[in-house]
Amino acid sequence: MSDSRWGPFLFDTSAESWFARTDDPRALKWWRAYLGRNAVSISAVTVLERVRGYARLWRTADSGRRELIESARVAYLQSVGKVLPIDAATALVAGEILALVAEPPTPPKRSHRVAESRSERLARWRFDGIIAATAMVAGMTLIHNNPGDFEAIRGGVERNPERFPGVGPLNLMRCGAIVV
Amino acid sequence: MTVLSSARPSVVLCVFSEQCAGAEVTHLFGVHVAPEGIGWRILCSPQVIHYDVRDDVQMNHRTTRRTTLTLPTGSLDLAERIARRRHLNLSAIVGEALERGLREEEQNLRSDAILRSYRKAFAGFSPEELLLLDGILVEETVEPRAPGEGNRRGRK
Repeated sequence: MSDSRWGPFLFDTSAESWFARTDDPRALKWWRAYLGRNAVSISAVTVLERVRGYARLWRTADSGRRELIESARVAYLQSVGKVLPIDAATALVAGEILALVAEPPTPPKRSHRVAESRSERLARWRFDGIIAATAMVAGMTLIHNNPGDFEAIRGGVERNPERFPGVGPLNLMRCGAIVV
Repeated sequence: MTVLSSARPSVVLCVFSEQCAGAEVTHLFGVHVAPEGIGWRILCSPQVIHYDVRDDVQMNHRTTRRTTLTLPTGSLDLAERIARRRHLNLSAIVGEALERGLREEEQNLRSDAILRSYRKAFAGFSPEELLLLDGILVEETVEPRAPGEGNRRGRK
């Protein structure tokens, strides 16, 4: 049973980090209460993204820093609650989403010194499509901190409901909104 | 009703519910019967088994142990008032409150442990490393060279 305030929700990669790192007392209070009631549900894609991140950091780190990275990775895996798999239904819905919105709706990340390549941006966009599909198939609201991407998917799904029989709509909630 | 056997004297299971003191009570009877003609004859009452489901529920959920506790007077007064209002005894009210409090405590312990793990999972990383942990792989850019400047790749 899903409750508008207590879920259970599916957390996008960006949302999981937002709650894990926030210092906002209201957010922390909600997060603590939520963790007492529910396991944190995430997509298998989120585990993939995180583990790739830890692995890349580990490979480029010196031996002293590798220990910190490994213990952070283990801590992350210990905090993970429920991982939703990419099953046939999820793949089917994700395929429809990515056909509807083939190109990432927002440009690659960049700052004055670093930038995300076009191919990386496309891969990340596809991951977001799979995460949105996972939420739709599970019938869970997706908590996110990435409105640029997920609102585009929601719009596409809403305009083409005939492509998503028996699933949807995509229900979204931004991290900040949940604690207001 | 379920007849377990029709060949010889058998047990027929009967279930019915009734309202008892504002609560629904389910009774499960096992009645010994014997075939007679095309019907059944209920054997005499000593063979009727009576089982009140409520007794079993109470046995499972209300296993109690007598003990002596020292409680804050204010809380005790409040518990007594609630007990009178709800027509229950003091032990039931204190037991309920204790169960709720302990469940909450257990939830808090669990959420604290997960919070600690999450904090540790993301502590000690630079903003760019955190981007990578969020699935965003960024690389240093090669900025266009101004006249007379070297390659700025890798410059901090």
